[in-house]
This record gives sequence, C-alpha cells and structure tokens, in this order.
Amino acid sequence: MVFQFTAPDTQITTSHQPLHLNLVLHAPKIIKNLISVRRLTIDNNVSVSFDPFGFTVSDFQTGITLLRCDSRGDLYPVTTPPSFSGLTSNLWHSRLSHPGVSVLNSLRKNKFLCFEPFNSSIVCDSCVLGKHVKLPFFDSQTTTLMPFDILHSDLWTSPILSSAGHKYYVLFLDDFTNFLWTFPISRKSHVFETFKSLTKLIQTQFLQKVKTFQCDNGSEYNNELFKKYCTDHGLVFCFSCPHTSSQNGKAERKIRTINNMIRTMLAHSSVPPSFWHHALHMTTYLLNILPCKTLQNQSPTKLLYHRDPTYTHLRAFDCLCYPLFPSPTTHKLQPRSTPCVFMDYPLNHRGYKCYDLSNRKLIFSKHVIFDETQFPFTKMHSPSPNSYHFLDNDLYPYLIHQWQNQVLPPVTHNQLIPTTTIDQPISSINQQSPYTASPTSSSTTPSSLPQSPIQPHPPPPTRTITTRSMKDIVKPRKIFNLSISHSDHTISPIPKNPKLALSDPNWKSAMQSEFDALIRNKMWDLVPRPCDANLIRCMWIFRHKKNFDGSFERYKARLVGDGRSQVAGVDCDETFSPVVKPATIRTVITIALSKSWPIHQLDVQNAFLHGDLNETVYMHHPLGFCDFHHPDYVCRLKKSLYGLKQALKARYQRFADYVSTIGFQHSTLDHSLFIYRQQSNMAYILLYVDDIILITSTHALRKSIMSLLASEFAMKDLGPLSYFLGIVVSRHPGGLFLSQSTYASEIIERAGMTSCNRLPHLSIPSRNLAPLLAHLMRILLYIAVLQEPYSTSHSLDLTSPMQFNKSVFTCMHPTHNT
Amino acid sequence: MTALKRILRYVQGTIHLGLHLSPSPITKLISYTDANWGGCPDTRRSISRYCVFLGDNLISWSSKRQPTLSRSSAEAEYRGVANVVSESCWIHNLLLELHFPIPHATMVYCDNVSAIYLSGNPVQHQRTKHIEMDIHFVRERVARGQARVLHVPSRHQIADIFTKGLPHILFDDFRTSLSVREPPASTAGCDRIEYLP
Repeated sequence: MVFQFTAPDTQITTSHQPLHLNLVLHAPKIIKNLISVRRLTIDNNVSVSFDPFGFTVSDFQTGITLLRCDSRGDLYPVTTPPSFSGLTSNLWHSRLSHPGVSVLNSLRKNKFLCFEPFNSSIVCDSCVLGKHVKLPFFDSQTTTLMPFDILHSDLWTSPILSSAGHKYYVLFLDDFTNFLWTFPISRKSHVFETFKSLTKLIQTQFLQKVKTFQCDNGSEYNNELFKKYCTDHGLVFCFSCPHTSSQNGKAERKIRTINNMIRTMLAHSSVPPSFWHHALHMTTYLLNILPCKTLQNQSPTKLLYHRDPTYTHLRAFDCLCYPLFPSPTTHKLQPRSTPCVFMDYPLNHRGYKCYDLSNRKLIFSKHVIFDETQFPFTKMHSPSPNSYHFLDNDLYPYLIHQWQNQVLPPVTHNQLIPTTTIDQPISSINQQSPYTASPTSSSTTPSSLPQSPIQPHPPPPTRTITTRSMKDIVKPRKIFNLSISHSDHTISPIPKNPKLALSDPNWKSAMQSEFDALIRNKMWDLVPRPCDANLIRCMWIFRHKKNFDGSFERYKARLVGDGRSQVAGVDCDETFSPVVKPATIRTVITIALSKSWPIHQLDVQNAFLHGDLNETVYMHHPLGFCDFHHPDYVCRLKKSLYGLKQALKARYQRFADYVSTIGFQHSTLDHSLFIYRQQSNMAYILLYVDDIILITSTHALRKSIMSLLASEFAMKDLGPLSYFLGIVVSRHPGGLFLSQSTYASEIIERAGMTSCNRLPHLSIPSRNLAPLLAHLMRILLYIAVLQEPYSTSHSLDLTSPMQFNKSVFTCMHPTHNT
Repeated sequence: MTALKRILRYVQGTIHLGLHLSPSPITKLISYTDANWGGCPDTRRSISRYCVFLGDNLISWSSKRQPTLSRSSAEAEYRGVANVVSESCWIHNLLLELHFPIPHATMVYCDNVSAIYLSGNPVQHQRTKHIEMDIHFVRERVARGQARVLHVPSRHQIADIFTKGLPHILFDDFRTSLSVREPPASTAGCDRIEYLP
C-alpha cells in the first residue's frame, strides 16, 4: 500500500457533533476511502455498533446516536449527507430571500434541503425592516363589574359646522353599561371642561367615581390639564398607543354607530347637514334606551338606572309637529299653533323641542301634536344622497356650501296640510316619560348633562320682545364722536379704498388728474425691478377740499408713499422740516399793517411739493394706474412724494434753495421766514407746509416775485390773505380781524354740541375734574395757541396742566419733523 | 367731562370773537407776566404766563407750567420774568432781522415787587442761589438796557387772565385789552379796501 502523503484531518458531519478523522492518509490505489473503526472510537470517544441493516455511531458516554448509516451491500458505507450539508439555515434563509419559517421547514422536511432546524428565536434584522406588520389584536380580557369602572372617550371632527357653531362632538361611553353621553362642542379645548362636568354629574347622580379613563392619544386628552385632574382624583388614565385607534375600539365603534344613525335620520327627513347636532342628541337618547346585543339584549338605561325604558313617547326625527302657543300672545283670535319641525327631546325640559321654520326659532313645548308622515324639510329641498358623506369615517375634504349658506325659506301654511293624528294624550306623555320614571330628578335623564356651556341653544323665550336693533333702527352716537364726518349727501362720500374710488367717476377723475400731474412733473422712471432693493408702498388719500366757509370745493386725490416701509440709511436720511411759528406770523403781519404793505397768499400746486430726492427710492406702481407694457417694472422716484419720510425736508429744501437764488435771505430766528431787502424794497415770505404768505413793500415787487416763483413752481395766487391755517382773516378799516369761528364751529359740531347753551364767560371750574378726551384737547389747543390767547388756556390748565403745557410748548416751538 | 363740556360751551359762546391786528407804530415791545405759585394741584409747580404786545398788537403769549418747583412766589414770578425776557429777546432779534429794530427797551410788567427788585438789585440773596441762571440772564438784559422790569398793579395785570378765574367785568376788560374783540361792523367790500392789486 503506497501512501503518497498525509492529508489534513477531516471530519464527518453528523446531526450533533462532527466526527473527527485524524491522520488521514492518501492512497491513490485504493478506490474507496476506508475508516479505521478503532481510530474513530478512540479519537471521538464513540461506540460503533453493527447490525444486519447498517451501523450506528453513538456517543460512548451518553449513548446518543450520532450517525446511522444503512447498508445494502457487503460493506458498511458511511453515507455522508449531500454536498450542501455544511450550509447553515441562515444562509438558506437569505439565499431564498428571507422566506418564512414554515417554508424553510417544509423544504427541510421533504429533504430538498438539508440544514439544521431553523431557530425561530433569532430575529432577522432585514426581515423586520422589510416585512414588519401590525401585530394581531386579541380580544380584550378586561372585565368590568361596576358602572364607571372604565369610561371610554373619543372626539369626532365634523367637516361641517353645525348651525349652532359646533365643529366636534365628544363621546363618553361607560364600559359596563354601554351608556352613552355625547356633547357637541365648538373647540377641542372644551373637552376637558366637558369631562370634568361629566365626572361631577356621575358623582352627584350615582355616588360613584370614574376609575379608569380610556381615550386615544389626541392632544385634547393628552395634555397637562387632563393629567393633573387624573392624578388629583386618582383616576387611571389609559391612552391608546399613537396611531393605534383600535385600542380605543369601543369608542371608535360607537362613533361609527352614531354616525350611521345620524346619516340615516338626516337622509330620511332631508334635514340640512348643519342640523347634525340635533340628530346627535336624538341618536344618543335612542342608543341609551335601545337593547344592546353585548348586554344580553338589555338596554343601557336598564343597567344604569335599573328600570325599563319606555318607548311610547318617541317620535320620528324632524317630522311635522304643532306645538301649542303658551297663551294668547296678543289677542284671542290668534292661531294657537304653527307648523314646526320636531328636533329632539330637550335635556332639561319634559317635552319636545320644535323648530319654527317661519321665524327660525326653537320652541319648547309639552303640548305638541305630531304628523310623522310629513317631513317639512323634504318639501323645501331634496338633498343629493352624497350630502351626508361628511359623516363617513374617512374624512375626505367635503364642503357643502350650498347647505351652509342656504337661507331656509319660510314654510307656507298651505303646503303643510296636517293630517292630524293625536298620537298620545299629553297626560300619558307625562306619565310615561322617562324623566318621571327616574327616581332622582329630571336632570338624571339619559344623555343629559345640565351644564350650560354645553347646551347648544339656551331655551329661547317663546314670547319675543321687539327691539330696535331687530328692526334695523340704528341711531348713531353722535356726541363726542369725532370720527363722524358731516358731509353733504349730494357729493360723493370719501371712498374707503381705491377700488371703490375707481368706480366713482368723481373720484376717478380726481385720481386721473393727480396721476397726470405726477407724470407731467416726471416724478419717476420705470425701471426693471432691482433685486434686494427696498420697495416702498404707495396709497391714495382722498379728501374733500373745502372753501374757507366750509362749503365743498372739489374732490382731491393724492398719491402718497408709505414712509413706514422706508429704512433709515437706505432710502431716507434727514427727515426734519421747519414750520413757521405763530408769533412770527403775527409779528410780520403787524409790520405789514403798520406799513400798509400788501399781504398776499399763495398756494403751491403739487409740483412744488415734490422736492428733489437725493436718495434712491423704489416704489410700487400706484394702484389703478399700472403700466400695461411693463407690469413688473417699478418706479424709481426722482422727486419726493408725499408720505415719504424725507418729503417735508426735500420740499422745504427745494423752496429754500430756490428763493435764496432770487435774493431772499434765510432768517436765523425762524427757519420758515425768508427776507428780501433791496434798498427800500422789502419782502417777506412765510412758509407753512404748502401755504405761503408773501408780504412785499410794493405791488410791483410782489408781481415780480410771484412771476419768479410761478416760473419755478406751479403756483396758485389766492389773492390777499383771507384764509390761512384754518384762520379766517378779514379786513376792516381798523386793521385785520383773525377769527377761527369756522374751525371752532366744526369742532363743536363734531362734538355734537351745536345746540348747547352758550357761555360768555368761563367761571372757575371745580378742580377735581375727570381726565379729558385727548383728541378734543388737541383741537382746542390748536385754537388756544394759534389765536385766542385766553379763551381755553385758562381753564385747560386747571383741568389738565400737564397735557396743556406740553402741547403749548410743542406748538410754541414747532420743530415739526418727520 | 363736565369741564370739557364747559370749555366747548365757552367756545360756542365766544365763537364770533377774534384777534384784532391794527396798524400801529412798531416802536415798543411790552410784555406782561404773571405766575401762580404752586398752581398745579398735582405737582405744586408754578404756572407762569405772559403776553407780548408789539405796539398795540398782541403777538405772542404762553401759559406754561414751569419745569422746576419754586419755593417762593418771588421765585416763581422771577422765572416767569426770565421766560418773557427771553421771548422778548427773540422777538427783538426777529424785528432786527426784519429790518425794523426797536429803539426802546422791552417793558416787562410784573406784579411782584420782590421779583422786580431781584432783576435790578445786584444783591445775592440767600434764597435765590438755585435760580442763578435766570437771575443773571435777566440782570444782564436789564443792565444792557434791553429790558426794564416794572411793577403793575394787579388791577392792570393783563396776564392775570391766563392765571385765575376773574370776575366777569374784569375778564371782559382784560379780554378787550388783549385785542380779542367782536368783528367790526363791516360793510360790503371793506375787506378789499386796503389795496387793490
């Protein structure tokens, strides 16, 4: 026997431990591999037993069979498993792309594959990531022995607002009795209040406490208020896991039942869906008195109240009914009833709730005659069946505008011919009513929770009191209402927005003329919108321009920029502008009077108002005057517009610059005063925003100055001074007479005191005076400062010295800016 | 609210009144000043008032609570004097700029004798240490002949009308003195009588 070389050790795999074959020799001449039994038993500590059908290798110590090989011939061959036998079950699991345990086991059992049995306790990551499913739910093993051991709750969101403004209803279900409470609510935050009042009701009525509260994971339950309440009252609070509403299945299933009933009831009587809260009351009431399969065909009422409910007082939902009016309201020949729709059984009344279609009122009455074959809503409109889809559980966005916006037409009497069927004498209703059968009181009626915030409709009085507001009689409160404008009705009122103005020809022409003037003055260039530039808004201001006597002069529309959208340093810089001091005006006028110089008044048209602009300001298109060719362009302002922060400054600067070129000098004591002197020729200009007073020593000088000014600005010559800053100036041989009567009477009219008693003197008013209206004060101060020195100052300082003095200070030293 | 209504009623009652400006020679500047010491019931600061006449025309007035508390009536009055002197200086300078200089000193009429003495008498009083600025300001003007502080009996103190409630007759009298009058009975076209362009 030639052994060519020694092969490495090898082994025979068995079902348990491998059998090691050491000192393997390679003999090419021998056609079969031979195993030395002696060597095998020593190396592996096994016993080998031979029998007529084969041999068995077993562990010497434990006697466990390690290998069994059958023999059909002369030899005892070692039949090794197939070549794949070394692969593990995991590898096969992954090769077959993660089949289930049962598939692998079946392959192994049928000997298609050979591997170790699959260990199902090992979790395959990929299987979990790829194939995880919801685990099965098992029937709840919870049993309750007493009412209120477990209270289930859930909230349902209605896609349609009820006619009383409810968006949700919350449901509470007792686990033991299946007794149901539902409350329509308008906000989710009301759930907690509702829950609290319900637990109080249970405490009072049943002397029991809720032990466990089961709800879903919604924020209306899972909040601090609820948790605190539960810990304070020893309540166990059970949430369902997030997105596992099945754990709150009892409440969920009840919602489905309720919605099915509501849908059916609404469809049967063709009621608008916004009446769902009435149907909800009815449903709750009925579910509590109907037998229930899970309760061995007993009703929740029976289990909770230990008495059988009665059914004789029930009526069909929304059928025609005739409640009796309480007493002849006005006279004895009035009708005793009116056709109504039966809504539901009111919570706190022993009777029926009826809805009067003609005046849309709820009537609570005990004396009602029903016609359950007629459904008044059916005659008014037949809704399409999908009108009630909103009650389906899958809430696809469904809006029924035609219902919500529909105004119910009044029901005409001849449409509803009552086939009077007196179903039940009133007395029997009273006797068999479930309310009377209740041992406690009427407030323990099913589905009742006498808490006022939950009740959708407070019981309206059947007798109506006609108020002025019901008949649209409105009397405006005029006294001290300074916002009322006393304008003539024949002229167009001041529009509220530019769109309204554009529809009014008067205002439109005013806007057009303003726009034309702006274009004429080359106010802006149209440029493509620069990126990251600050764009300011613009708006239209509308005013009635009036003459000095208060009469209407013309419509004035003005385009102004919105200074608030400006950014300091970016598109505005210095923003002050001086105005003339009143004392200066009077001083200059005094001089003019003493020298008999003409006093002239000029008005500057809008052109002058637009001073040159140093900063680059971009503005949107004016509303209503958008450029059709370049709608995306913006206006780059070349001159300052009203409302810009620097507008006053720019305007003042422009004027000051110009008049200095024609020889005027700037007064150092009052910046709004400009002085001209050429030998004996003298001229003064007083500037107050856009009003100008021009005083010259000769008419020739006045004419030349005015022509110079007119060449630069669009001027309007208003003639001799007659109306300046609200002061009427009249001339008489003794001088000038300044009067603010127009302005004062306007104030008095605004304050609604036109017909008050006139007071020629101010006596000493009492010192303990109430704080005054600031706005009126300001107006009065204007009079006080500008003209009549004593008239108001005296009494004002007694009343509110601080305000007065402050305002006086501001007016006396007007550094008006911005 | 009662006071406010009263004011409005007064405005209604005097709606026809107006300020008269008459052609008078621009030669003198006269001012009246008065203060009610501790007049503000809340803060006990004084309220000083003045009115300035240019010729016969009332051109400037003020009624203003003083920014600081005065410990004596003379002090309160003196601050009022200082206020009116500064206002007069401004008008004086304005007239100068308008090329109508006033040759005479501004008359400041005050009804408090102590304040008058303070303005002229170069004595440092113990109680006036803290109003030194005002003291020196007015004294300087007086010394340079730009202003004269004179006494006026209360009967003719026009600025009283700003300070306190007065008897009706005196009130009317002062109001007329302030050239606040009813409009003159004008004839048609008289407001164009002055000149024709």
